[in-house]
Amino acid sequence: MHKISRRDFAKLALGVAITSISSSSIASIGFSRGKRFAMYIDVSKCYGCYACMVACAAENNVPVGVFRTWIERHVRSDGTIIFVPKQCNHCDNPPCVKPCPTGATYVNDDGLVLVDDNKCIGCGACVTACPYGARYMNPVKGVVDKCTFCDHRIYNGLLPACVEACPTGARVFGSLTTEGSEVRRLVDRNPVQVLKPEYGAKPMIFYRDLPEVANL
Amino acid sequence: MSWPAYPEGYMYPNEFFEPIVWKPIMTAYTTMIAIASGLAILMGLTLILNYKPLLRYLPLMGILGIASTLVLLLGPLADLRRPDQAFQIFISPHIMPSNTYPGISYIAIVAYMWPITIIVFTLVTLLVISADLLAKGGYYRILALGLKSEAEYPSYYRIARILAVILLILGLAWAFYYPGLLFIAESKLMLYNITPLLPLTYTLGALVASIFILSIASILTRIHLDNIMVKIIIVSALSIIFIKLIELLRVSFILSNIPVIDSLTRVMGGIIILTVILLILTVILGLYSLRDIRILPLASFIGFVAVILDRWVYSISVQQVSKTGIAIFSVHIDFVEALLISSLILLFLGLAVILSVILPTRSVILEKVLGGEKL
Repeated sequence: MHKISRRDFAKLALGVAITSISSSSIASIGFSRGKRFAMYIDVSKCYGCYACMVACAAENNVPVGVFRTWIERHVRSDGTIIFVPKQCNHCDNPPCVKPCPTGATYVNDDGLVLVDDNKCIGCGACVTACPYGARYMNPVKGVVDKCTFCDHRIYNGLLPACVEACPTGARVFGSLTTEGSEVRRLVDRNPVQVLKPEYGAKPMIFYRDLPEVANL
Repeated sequence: MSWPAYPEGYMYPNEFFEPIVWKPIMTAYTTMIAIASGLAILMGLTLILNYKPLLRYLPLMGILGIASTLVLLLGPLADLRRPDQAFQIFISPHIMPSNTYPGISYIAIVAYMWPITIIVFTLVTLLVISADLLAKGGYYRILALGLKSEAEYPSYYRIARILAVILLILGLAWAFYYPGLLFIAESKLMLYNITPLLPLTYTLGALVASIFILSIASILTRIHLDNIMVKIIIVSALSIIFIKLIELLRVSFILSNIPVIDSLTRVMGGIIILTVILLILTVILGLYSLRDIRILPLASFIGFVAVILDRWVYSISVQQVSKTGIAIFSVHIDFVEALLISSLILLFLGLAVILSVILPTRSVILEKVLGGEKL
């Protein structure tokens, strides 16, 4: 049986399905929701300490085996190792919200994609629809679960747990609509990329130095 | 907690925790949809076209249709992680797009389609057999929907024919629902994107499934089988084979350079070949059935198995490939899952038996009025 290594797959798949990692800027994003919270992740600053994952799990009581955020380890063609943090992208055009039959998954006024536990029936339609693998069935609650950008913290003037725990400042969180916010400045001034732009989901996690090998 | 062996290739960690979101009972659900939608299409077309060779099966189609539609949503209900909150789909349906709830949920629409289908199926069935219910007298008169005399029956039959248009639309909507859901709404599993002909295959499969159920029920109720059922089976099976070949050519020549095809071949290749072989066997046996109608149940049974396999491929096998397109997961049916699937089938059969006891399975008056041949 022919086996494809991860690297081979990345070369082939990226050549066909993922033609390019799009560059974005504030002008081209076209967001329209309230504070439009977003995150900027500088991949070159992440060294894979997993502090964000631990902080997130502790803050949000994430069960063992599932992840609101995780760090992928990839190898570039030149052999160098890179770490890429991933999580829910809080998309501006979220594919996961559309199939939800009960409206349990929704977009709040500031663009956060959230889940109402009391409405979720656990059908899994959103899990299947999310192209980023960011959603999971919480084995304890029995409903779907995902990153909330720590909404319980940010609306109280705190940062998301993952951002606060990051020792290198690889993650920057803030509002894209607030003039002068750091995240807005970073997204506007740097060449940034988003994951799987071909899906048209308009993700709100902006990466800097994201290698093609990690855009799966 | 036991950890399975790490699958080959790249994948998202959350997929690793629960690789198969929709469990094997969804195959039973889609098969039940096939039966219900196939019967709705057949019953609708028979009434609209006033097609005499199939008129004698109308009461049976109605009874089986009501029974299959009643148990329809138990499949997904058993698959929900929070079935206790399932009522939310009716009190808080996501059917109007807004800034907070962009898009429309196909699932929510179908949830509302379910009671409508039950009502229309029941009304059409009762209208068709209203004269027979009147003739039975007693409490059966209540089910005759106010029919006073046999002379009024033609007008009742005309109403049934009008409602049959709605039934046909509902049948087609149900037949298209699951593949449509996979292809349009849930398109983030790569393999769903390469099967645009699936709704057509599912509709034809629905006809095969419904003819199988109808032929078995006809034998049990001693209604003789008609060659038209054989012809439907043969044409449907041949059409599915033809569509599969088109899909195969498309995958081989247009999509062959996509790496996910390698995973597709490993996960689905064998089952698809087996499905096509079974369909070819169905056609061959169907041709024999034209000479000896007693072979029809066997021919339609093999076709029915092919339909189930086809549904397994698209509802379960596709999930075996991760969203990154390469990792392959394993699927197994545990005891509870098997119990749930068995319960769904037994409930359908039980309801069909109960309804066939309550309602007449053949309409003598219908034949008399419409000048159909004697049973």
